[in-house]
Amino acid sequence: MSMRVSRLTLLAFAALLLPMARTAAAQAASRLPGELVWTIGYDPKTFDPAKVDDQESETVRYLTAGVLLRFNRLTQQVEPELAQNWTVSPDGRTLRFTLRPGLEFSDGSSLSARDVVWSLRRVLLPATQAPVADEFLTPARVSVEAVNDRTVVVHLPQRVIGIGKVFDEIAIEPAGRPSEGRVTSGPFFVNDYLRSQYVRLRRNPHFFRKDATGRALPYASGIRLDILENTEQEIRLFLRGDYDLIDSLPPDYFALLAKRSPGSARDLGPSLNTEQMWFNQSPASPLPGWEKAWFRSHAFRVAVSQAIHRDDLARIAYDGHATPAYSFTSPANTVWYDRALTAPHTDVAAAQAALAAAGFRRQGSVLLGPDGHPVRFSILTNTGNAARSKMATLIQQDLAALGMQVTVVTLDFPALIDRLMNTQNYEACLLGLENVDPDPNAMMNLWLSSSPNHQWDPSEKTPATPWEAEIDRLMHLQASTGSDAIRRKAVNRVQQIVANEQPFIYLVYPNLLVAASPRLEGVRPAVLEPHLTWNADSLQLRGAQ
Amino acid sequence: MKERAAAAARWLARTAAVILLVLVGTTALVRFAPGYFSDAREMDARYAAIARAELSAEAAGSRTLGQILGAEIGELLRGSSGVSRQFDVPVWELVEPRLAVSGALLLRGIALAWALAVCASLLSSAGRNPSLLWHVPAAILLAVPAAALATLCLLLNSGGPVLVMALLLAARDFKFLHRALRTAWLDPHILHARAQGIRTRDLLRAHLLPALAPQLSALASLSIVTALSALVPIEVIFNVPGLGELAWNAAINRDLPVLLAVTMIMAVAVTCAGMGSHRSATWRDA
Repeated sequence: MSMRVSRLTLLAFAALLLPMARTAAAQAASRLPGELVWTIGYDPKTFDPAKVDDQESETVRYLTAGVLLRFNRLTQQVEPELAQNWTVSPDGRTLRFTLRPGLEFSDGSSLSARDVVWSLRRVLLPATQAPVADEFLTPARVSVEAVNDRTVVVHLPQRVIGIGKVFDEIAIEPAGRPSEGRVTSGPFFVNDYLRSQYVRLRRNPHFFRKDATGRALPYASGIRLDILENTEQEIRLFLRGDYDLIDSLPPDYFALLAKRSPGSARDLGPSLNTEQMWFNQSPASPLPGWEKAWFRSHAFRVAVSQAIHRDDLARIAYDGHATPAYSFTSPANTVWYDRALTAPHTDVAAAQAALAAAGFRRQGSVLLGPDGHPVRFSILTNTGNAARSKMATLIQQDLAALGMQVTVVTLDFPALIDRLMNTQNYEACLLGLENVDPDPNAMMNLWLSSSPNHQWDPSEKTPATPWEAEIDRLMHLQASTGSDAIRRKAVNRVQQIVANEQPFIYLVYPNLLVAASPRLEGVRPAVLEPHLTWNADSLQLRGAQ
Repeated sequence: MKERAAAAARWLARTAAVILLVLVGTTALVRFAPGYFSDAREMDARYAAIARAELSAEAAGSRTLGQILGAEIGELLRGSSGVSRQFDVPVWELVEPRLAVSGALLLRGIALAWALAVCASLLSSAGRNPSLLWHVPAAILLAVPAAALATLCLLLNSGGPVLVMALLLAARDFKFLHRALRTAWLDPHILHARAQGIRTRDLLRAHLLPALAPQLSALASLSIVTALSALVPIEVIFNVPGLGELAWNAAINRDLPVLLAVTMIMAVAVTCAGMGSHRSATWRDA
């Protein structure tokens, strides 16, 4: 046998095997006609709409659940959905819902007040352990009754602010037949689920809603939610046309996507979310006494805030896709944003003067505390968030101008949460807060001094300072009054106290970055989640029937 | 017969010891890792209360390392793999569909790697001078970590998990195969046979492969171990829903029952590969 023939044979053999390498990773299933496809980050924990307690289960619930009232993500108003209309008594304790006529579940069975009563009672039952039940404040004392086939009355023991939005989270299911999303009264129902690969939703042919021309909604024949955590893969598959949208795009990928697919990436301006840092003021923390004293010092916190160049954070860490922040309410929150708020802005000279007045002094390039200890501390943040790491590094440089020696420490999320919530063994932390509800009532657990999520000093037995006591009082006031004017005044005052005291040093509002395929019709991005898919029933691919 | 039974007993004892070590090591590492009693939902206003309630219940039932190990071993002996902390479903439900995915990736990767390595080795060793054409790429691939190669493929938008797995293994296999074949090819009796005009395929079948069988068998075991070690980064980067990705997520979320199951499967696979290699060597010696 000649060596030439041998080599050709071997090369041909290898070439025949090469197609084995062509595995389309992450492409779990082929697209069905008229189907929309995007990703979720992990497997939903449950498809039972009453037991949703994680983000991805919430996504499936939003797309499948029929609800009495829908909180319109675009207008930020509560609108009737399965209910044709609803009324609230003047004392806010009695709610009356009238259902639309002829409602049906996805299996064709009729939907009546009996199903509504059963669904609401199931959510309120302690045995169900529905997280949404807590929003009724005292769920055990809530009563629900059907007046007739189309009318349901809910009696509350006390007024609940924003009660309409609570019904946006309660799916109406067939009485006595909970189906984990298989039989729904929403636009889609769960058809197929392959763990770690995809959740496939199909169009509900009995959904009540029609468009202006009388065409039945939803337009799409279904939705496939691929389970994919890898952003690079998601972008690659989006560019290839496998995915129709990206609901939240990290800033470091925005330019890449804008370059490769002009017109698909969109910057919608400031989101509701905030990025902030705070110092550990907990008396229970294992920090030395002098550090606790610095962190409790008002002058220290304000000086740090004044030393930070927020414009640089937005420009460098977010490639310009962020807005400097001074309050917990973003300008995107058109209802609650306080334009009259005054907050310490960047002023390094003022920061140095404030520190000097509080007893801090410079020794060469090092700042010494009133007790003579050099001011050194570390900022914790989580791994896997490039923008956050960049911000921490920029803050490190900014604080060096004051003589503070800062170390940046990144930890994985469980380890970070352990430090924040359990051991409280940290000095400063840089994290973000995702606001899914523009109403300040949703931030109660952050501002009440007794809350475990009162991050700078969790679970205070009594408010540690007079201004924390005032925040407690104002937050309780806004949560109990029926007067919009009183609520607004109370919330504005809380914003001002936070700006004055700087328990959280707000840094930026990250801009809302999304991507939608040019083939996708009906896209109307909203600042609230889900940003692109809140009107999923009106989305369709161009040319799809 | 007795010897075979004794050998089987020894292997079983060794496997059991390895599994026990894996159980102890994994449990200690995960249970005492920072953040075991934490949940990302604690930071989310909507789910914080329920997350804290779940964690409190779990912490209340927290036991010593010995008790946890005892409970895990008891579960295994009862034929149960436990319940995932993260997904709240039986671990076997998570593992079973992924076994096929990872198994297919491993088989295809190893098969392609061996095909490439054998072809390259034959072409390289049969030539008069070892060619840089084969050795330079092999050396580069040996120096590149699996994660880096996978990321490169992703950025270049070409290739996939099988190709990355195959290239990584092929480079290692080629290094050994080339050396073994080169030495065998230049043996005096092979040179004599070649000079007499015996066909290459007959030489391979009758002389080269039988002589190299123990080395090839050992190399096959090494391939399996190397492939298993590359499984996690490759599956994570390419988002392949296999065991490697499951292990990664379990580690991130401190999901001890899932991690235990995956590491035990890996341990059994490695010991089985070792046994396969040992058996083939024994058969040949016999």
